[in-house]
Amino acid sequence: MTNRPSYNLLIYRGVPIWRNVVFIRLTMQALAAIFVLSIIWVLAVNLMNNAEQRGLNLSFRLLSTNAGFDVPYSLIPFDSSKSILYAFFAGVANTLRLVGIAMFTTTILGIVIGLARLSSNFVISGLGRVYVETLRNIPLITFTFFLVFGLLRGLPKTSEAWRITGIGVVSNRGIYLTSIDESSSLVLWLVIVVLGALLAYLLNRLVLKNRGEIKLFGIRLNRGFTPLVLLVLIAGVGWVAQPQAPFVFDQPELKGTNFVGGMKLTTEFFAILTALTMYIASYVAEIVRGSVQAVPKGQIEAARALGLSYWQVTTNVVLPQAARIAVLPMIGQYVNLTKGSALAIVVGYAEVFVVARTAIEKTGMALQIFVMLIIFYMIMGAFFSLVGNWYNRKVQFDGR
Amino acid sequence: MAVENMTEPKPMNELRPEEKLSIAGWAQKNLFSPWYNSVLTAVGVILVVMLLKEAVPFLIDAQWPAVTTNIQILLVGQYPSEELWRVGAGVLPMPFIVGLAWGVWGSMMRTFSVTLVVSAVLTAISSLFGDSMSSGLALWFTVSPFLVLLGYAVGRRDFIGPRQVLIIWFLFLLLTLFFLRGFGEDSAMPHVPTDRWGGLLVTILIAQVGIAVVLPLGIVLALARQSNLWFFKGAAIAYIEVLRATPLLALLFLMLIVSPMFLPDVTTPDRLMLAFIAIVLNNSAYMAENIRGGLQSVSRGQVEAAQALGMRGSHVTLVIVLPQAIRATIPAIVGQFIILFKDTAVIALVGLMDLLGAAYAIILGQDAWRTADPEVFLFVAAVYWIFTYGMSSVSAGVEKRMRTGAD
Amino acid sequence: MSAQSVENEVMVQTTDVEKWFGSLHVLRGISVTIKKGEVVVIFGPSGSGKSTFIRTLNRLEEHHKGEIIVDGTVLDNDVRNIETVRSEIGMVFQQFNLFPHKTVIDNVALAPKLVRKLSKVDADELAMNMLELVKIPEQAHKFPGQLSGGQQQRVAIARALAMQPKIMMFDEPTSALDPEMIAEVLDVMIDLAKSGMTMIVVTHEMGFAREVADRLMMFDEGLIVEEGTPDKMFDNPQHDRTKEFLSRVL
Repeated sequence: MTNRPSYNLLIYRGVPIWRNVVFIRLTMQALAAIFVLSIIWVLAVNLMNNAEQRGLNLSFRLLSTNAGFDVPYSLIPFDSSKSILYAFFAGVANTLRLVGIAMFTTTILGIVIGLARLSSNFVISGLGRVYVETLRNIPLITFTFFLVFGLLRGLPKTSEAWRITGIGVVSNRGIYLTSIDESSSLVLWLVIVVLGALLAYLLNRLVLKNRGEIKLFGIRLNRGFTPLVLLVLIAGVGWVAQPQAPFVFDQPELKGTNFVGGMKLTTEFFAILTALTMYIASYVAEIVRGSVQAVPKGQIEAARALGLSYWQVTTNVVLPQAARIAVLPMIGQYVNLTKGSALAIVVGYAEVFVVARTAIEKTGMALQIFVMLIIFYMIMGAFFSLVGNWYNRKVQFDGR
Repeated sequence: MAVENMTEPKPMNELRPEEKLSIAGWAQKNLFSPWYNSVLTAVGVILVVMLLKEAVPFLIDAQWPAVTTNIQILLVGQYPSEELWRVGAGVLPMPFIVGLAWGVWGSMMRTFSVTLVVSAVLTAISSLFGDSMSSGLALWFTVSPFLVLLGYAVGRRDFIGPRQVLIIWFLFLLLTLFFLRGFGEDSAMPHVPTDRWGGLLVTILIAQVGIAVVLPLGIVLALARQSNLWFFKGAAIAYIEVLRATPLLALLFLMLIVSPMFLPDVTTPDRLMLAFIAIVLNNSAYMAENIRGGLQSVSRGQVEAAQALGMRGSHVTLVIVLPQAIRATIPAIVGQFIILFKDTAVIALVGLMDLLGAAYAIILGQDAWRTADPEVFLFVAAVYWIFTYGMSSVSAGVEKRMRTGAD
Repeated sequence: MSAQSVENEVMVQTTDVEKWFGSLHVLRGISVTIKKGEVVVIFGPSGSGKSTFIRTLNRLEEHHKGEIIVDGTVLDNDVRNIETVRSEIGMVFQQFNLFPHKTVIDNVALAPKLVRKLSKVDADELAMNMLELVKIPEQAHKFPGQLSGGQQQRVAIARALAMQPKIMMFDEPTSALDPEMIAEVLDVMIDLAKSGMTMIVVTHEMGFAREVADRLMMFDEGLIVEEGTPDKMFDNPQHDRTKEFLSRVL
């Protein structure tokens, strides 16, 4: 097979050049490029002039100088002698913590409200509807202001803290959750669990190989279920057989004016987490509802015709398909969460945008820090869209 | 497109005979069967009671004067009192145009218009009880519902169509802006700088001008992104992807803090204008993606058929592809308008006095109302809610009309 | 110019036209000469390049090698030439490709208004004439979506004719139609052929080919395998591929 010829398209049978399609296309783009580049040029010249006049340093090396400010409640250890770049990453870590936890809480709350809206119960679906219609129709930031002002003023003093037994306490000094700490016997117990899992796996293989014909004490062994019972039994014996339990629950206790122990969430973190969760959950609820309703009626009828029960239809036919429909819009909401996390500036939780603001105020390096910030958000966006594309491709391979 | 003759589907709220249930039967079906439904109902009722127990005493004891005494700040910010007549007069066309749109588009705009009329009437009535609202303001709220109805009557006539409404809207918007801004110091309408503008006025103006700018910009960007000219395509992709990844809040700070570094030293850019640009940049990227979806839904055959007839490239795009693409994406476009409206609240965070910013200023700036934040924010949220709910109903109406396939 | 020379006027001439889709060589040297008033039917298996070939004639596809001359105009990178050629060739597509947002009469009148710069009144009158030609003037103010497939394809023919082209090309015009609608479209095409229009038709409707075609061409793998009059091709095909293909479609 011969290859496609490449010849000079510009010199073609003596056509006047201004009527040549290729020439026209090139010229239009060149003019546009010159236009854009000249704007960039003018802006760059202005920037250089301003930098000179005001003594701005535009070097990115400055990011490695001492921060001189603190990042409160940083997830990674930080003090003001570390570099600005390090402060930025401390902010990134805090953002990731906020977004990660919010993804979880938002999904749970959104599913609950979405299912409530789908309920045939008038009171329950009405409550779901009021929730969704109220929150979706006001701006996130208005809601955040309303909630944060109310929360920060409404939280009780430590002496009157709200206690939820086993879970934690809520007060104006912070939210303390019961934490789970490892004890000295954890390692041994984990070894036991791993061995148990191995045994359970082998038992499962054995049952599968013999097509479920193995009997023990006259009871036929199930695939899946029996090995699971075995694993739970082994883990349970391993737990009680040791002198000390592998985990200890650390309950927060009031010592003096504040609580000690447990895991502390600052009120700032709690406030922004609550605001984001409650608001985005109203969108998630609509995704849940829409996805369930988008499952074709024919699917449900076909499954009912096969004699499946209502519950079987729901778990085997409706929910898997609805989940598939919901994944991409859900990723979109996680992107919204990431961007919404910048609203932490209302409460001052030190996520990356707040750190960036502080850094700009303290050092004046607005340009460099904003470049970093945009790169960070673009990486986050690219990450989510990669996950979305990966899922799309997977569904296309598996699907239909 | 004359709409008034359109046969609308019968409302579905009339139950078919066999479904007409007694109250007891209805309750049985929707509340108590099967057994777990009773439990759910109980849980729901307890929740409602708990909410009411908190809400009712709050609403009764609420410091509503925090809102009523500050109503002027919430509505127009610090616009000079002696020039307030300009706001009243300048904004008067708006209810008329809402009515016009109601008359032309019919059922789609009904809920939106009715919501606004009811709100205005309620406000006017509430001004009768209490003396905190100036008489001019009360007069404005009394007149505007009638303007909506007048617009409706005009819009029903045949000589006015969607295109005319859009043109009238755009011209009046420009006129309003000039009116509010004023001309010289010595003229009858002295210049009022935008940092005196505020409240709901600014929110609504930014939203409207934003809508007028974002739609064309989004169309141009979408066309560029779909173009097979690599420079246009590349530039559009870069613009759209960078702006979509950046939170509006970050973009807003970027505009206010960093963009002056790129401008000649002598200029001091208008802060409200910079904030407006941030909102437009952000929303146009999303708008472009919405419209691109519509462009992709137009089949290749449409372009080929137009080309085969000898049409020029610009005709193919403007006459054949774009109208079909926009028609297919109207719900998404209206959805983006709603997002834009809600986005305007963000500018409160950089100290600008939009509706939310005015509320913020009242709570932080006036000692008397330091603890009145629930009242003020509730009021603000309610105002946003009214507008957004109205716009959402427009979007729902468009979708319904597209589903029923009326054209 | 004598009547004889008009009869022999060449409308389409291609010389060794080649085209690639990526590395796929879809046209491997097509040379044809079509005279004024001739009706040429092109057939062949799918993927043989027959549609691609007629689409290169009005530049819906760019050719990469060889030369195409339509009514004396060389088809090259000259925009003006491309526009000239396109307005001289009417094209009818398999999927009709009517503009769904415009009424039937607007579909037909649009190009005369935009390209030929006719006034609205003239364009509408022309459009009505064309709709009468394809026998559906009563549907003028409906939208395409409200018509049957056969009616839509007839509107598409009227739309192409409204530009008063010198050549009409049909790309499998009946393939997307229900069987009972094929006849109404073919009738219009037969009338058109008998009126002396130069036509290039990609189709497997062999009854149509036998009735009106002056010449048949069999495409396979980007080449013209065989060409000739209907009698010769149907009754005495020379090439094995032609025999095999005709035995399947006839």
